[in-house]
Amino acid sequence: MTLWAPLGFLALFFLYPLAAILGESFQRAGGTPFAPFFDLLADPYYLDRIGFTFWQATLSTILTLAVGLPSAYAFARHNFLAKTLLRSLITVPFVMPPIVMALGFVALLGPQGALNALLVGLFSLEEPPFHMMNTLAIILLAHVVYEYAIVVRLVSTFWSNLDPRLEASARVLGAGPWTAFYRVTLPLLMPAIGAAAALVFLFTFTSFGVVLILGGSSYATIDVSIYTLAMKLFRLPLAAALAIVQIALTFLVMLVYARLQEATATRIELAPQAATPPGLPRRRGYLLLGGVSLAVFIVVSPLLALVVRSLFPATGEAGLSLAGFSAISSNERNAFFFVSPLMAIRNSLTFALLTTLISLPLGTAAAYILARSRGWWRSPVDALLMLPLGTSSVTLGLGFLLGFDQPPFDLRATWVIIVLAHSLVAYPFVLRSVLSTLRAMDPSLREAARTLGATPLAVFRLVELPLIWRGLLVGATFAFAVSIGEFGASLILVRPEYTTMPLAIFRYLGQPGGQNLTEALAMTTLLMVVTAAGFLIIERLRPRGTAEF
Amino acid sequence: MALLEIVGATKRYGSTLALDDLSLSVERGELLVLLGPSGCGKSTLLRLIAGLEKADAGTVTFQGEPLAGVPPERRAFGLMFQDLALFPHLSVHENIAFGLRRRRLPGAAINRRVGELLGLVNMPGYGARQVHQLSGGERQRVALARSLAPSPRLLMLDEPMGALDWTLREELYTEVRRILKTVEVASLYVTHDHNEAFAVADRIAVMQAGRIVQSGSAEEVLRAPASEFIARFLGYRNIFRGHANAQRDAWETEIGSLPYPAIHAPEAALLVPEQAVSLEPRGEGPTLRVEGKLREKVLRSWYYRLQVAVGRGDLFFLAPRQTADSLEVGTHLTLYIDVTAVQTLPADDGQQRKNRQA
Repeated sequence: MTLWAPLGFLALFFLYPLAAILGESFQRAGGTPFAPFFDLLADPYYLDRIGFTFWQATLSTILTLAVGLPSAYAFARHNFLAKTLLRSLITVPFVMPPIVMALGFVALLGPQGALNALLVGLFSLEEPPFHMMNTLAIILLAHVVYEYAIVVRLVSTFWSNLDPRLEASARVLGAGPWTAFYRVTLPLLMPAIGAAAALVFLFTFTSFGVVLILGGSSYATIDVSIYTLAMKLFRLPLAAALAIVQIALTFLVMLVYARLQEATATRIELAPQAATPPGLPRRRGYLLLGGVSLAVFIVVSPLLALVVRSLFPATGEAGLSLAGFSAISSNERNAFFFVSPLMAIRNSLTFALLTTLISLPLGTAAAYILARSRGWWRSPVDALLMLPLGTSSVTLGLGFLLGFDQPPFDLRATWVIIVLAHSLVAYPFVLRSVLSTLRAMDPSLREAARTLGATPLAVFRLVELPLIWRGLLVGATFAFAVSIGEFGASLILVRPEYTTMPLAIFRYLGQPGGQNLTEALAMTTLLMVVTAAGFLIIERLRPRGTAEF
Repeated sequence: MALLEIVGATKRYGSTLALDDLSLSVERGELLVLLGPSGCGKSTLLRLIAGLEKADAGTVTFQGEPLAGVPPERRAFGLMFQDLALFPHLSVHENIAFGLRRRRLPGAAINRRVGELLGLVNMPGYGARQVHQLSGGERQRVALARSLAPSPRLLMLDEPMGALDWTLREELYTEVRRILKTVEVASLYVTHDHNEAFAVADRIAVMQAGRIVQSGSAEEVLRAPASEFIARFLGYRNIFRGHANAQRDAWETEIGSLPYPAIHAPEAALLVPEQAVSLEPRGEGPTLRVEGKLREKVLRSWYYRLQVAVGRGDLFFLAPRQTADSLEVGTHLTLYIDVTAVQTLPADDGQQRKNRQA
């Protein structure tokens, strides 16, 4: 049966690489089984990395909730000027590839960043006053900016679906506004807040690109350590053991998230359509609008700085310059690169297209299995289908590196391995967007069509396809955007001749000199524009009332 | 030979038994109403007949031809869903034409038939509308037209009024009956509302826990409910547990001793129809006098519904306005029960004994 194809694909390209990691980590050395794990436990540096990863993810989650919840309240319960626009704007950073976000912070807060340049210019300073690079603060800031949208969108969607009459009833029954919120609204919101927190924790726990670029060597997370161990120190067994620890921990978080998400899904179904949120008294309205606008401005400022710095480079004469863009569009071979920047752009677009072609049917078939599955095998199959979402791309890259390094699966030197890895990273996004439209569809429509004489194939063509095509298109766009921005797995798997845009940016950064930074920023801006265009398409097409993430 | 014949249908979902060795038949042109509380297996039965579910055991035959293994699209049965399931991406015209197009009819014939159906459900000229522009009642008519369009051999309606409010329901179900009778299609109509069932049905089959527990015309079922459960489900409220007292030759109940009907079992449920209770004696026939205290009176247009505490129980009955207007709650009353109208029903927790009272 064709529906079983995704399971076969996952077994070969997901479970098998994981097994390869497991095999590597169980190696015996000097007669000791599980030697890599003992090495790991014996080394305080790596225990520190695990501890730091937890610590920064916890701090990031708390900070993101603190910043995001007031905005979620504003979006859920009030109407204000340009609400739809602001709501779209806050999501822009979230959909950006980590490399774009990292470069955005370099462009905003780096030694040659917009803020420092502005202060140096204004007060004629000798040297840049802000030293933010390689600090915990900039990592946390980047994470908050990155994940802010999750808290706002998840919680505000849920909140606006909560019947406002519940809080009104509490007030009528004698509760003050604060008690009504604390006793009625907050408990009802808890599943959504919990799901958002779990998701933020999961993403920041596996954060790679942002930490690698902004954190330097002193703030490495587990993912950064896996990368360093595997690619710089060539200690594959130790990298594999660390990856196993990471998988175990992320799956635990995934489990919590799945539980909480289930709770939000059922609750939202039960909630009636909310009444139009009230307008605000004037003074509080301006206050609210001001607060939300400020938050949105902070969230998009790294991206603004990116555009500004790529157009107004720090080096050379002051003023508008397209030097960075003309440098990356010239086809000459640069000494640092095996391929020209233009080739990197072409590679990225090709891989993204192929990734879309693979992950779209894969994700759709998997969504059908999940939507229809019943019986005892349901839970294990569901888990298998969703697992790639919780596996970090660095771990996935490591698995491919270990699993496909010898015949019959020697794919390491080919571009196929890149497309396969991207497809695995992208496919859960297709799965989720198609699944949400499938679940939103009334199952009796399918049955009604059957009783009216339509064969299963005709039902798909005439009833299901017209109702889920938006989900398919959203999924395809997601897959394209995810592939074009993919960084972690690519960094491990991509050979120089197949360099993609994110990798080219990373290589630029590794080279000293203002000109390299300018070119990196230009390339990043280009990547940002492509991703933003994809995001616009998604926002336009996303069916109303379907799941946010 | 019956048109549709179901024998021994059994369907289990996990540990719950949705259909329990159920047998039922529908005659040509008959409008059979399946009446039962929610969760009794009515919808499962329809889905089984439509081919959307497989039975664990039992057979479904249509005109003597077994239906096992025939997919829903080949059965030529119509099914109208409780939530109507109109295709949101298609116009009214295209919704009704959906089943006709599957039969590959020529375009002109389809247009003619859709026009015919729109006329039948009193919505001429609505073809170009979108589903979301329709009111609840209009949607319900379109759904009916859609399921009738391909001239199904059997039409099933699963709580077709479920989505409508009460006033609209009453207006529409009489019209649905008119339409079904006009096209002379054999129909299986599912509801949990006994008033709707009485208004629509040629014949009623009462369903309880996956079985048909009684079937007959509306009058038959109402006159002689086969069990305490059915009586309560049909709206009877004066039902009392009776213990046979051989010395006094009477049933001992919460509202006192009832000498009728004759004792035939150690225990039974006694049904006192509301019309058998009155405030004045009604001439001939044996009458039982009981004393009670008015507990509640509710005005319903031209009559009152009175609730009177008698013994340890309550008796409900109707009284004309002019008699009951002046009565105040707490008043002491004398009631007269026409004991010939009292019936015994098998008690629910007892075995299913066949002792329907004549």
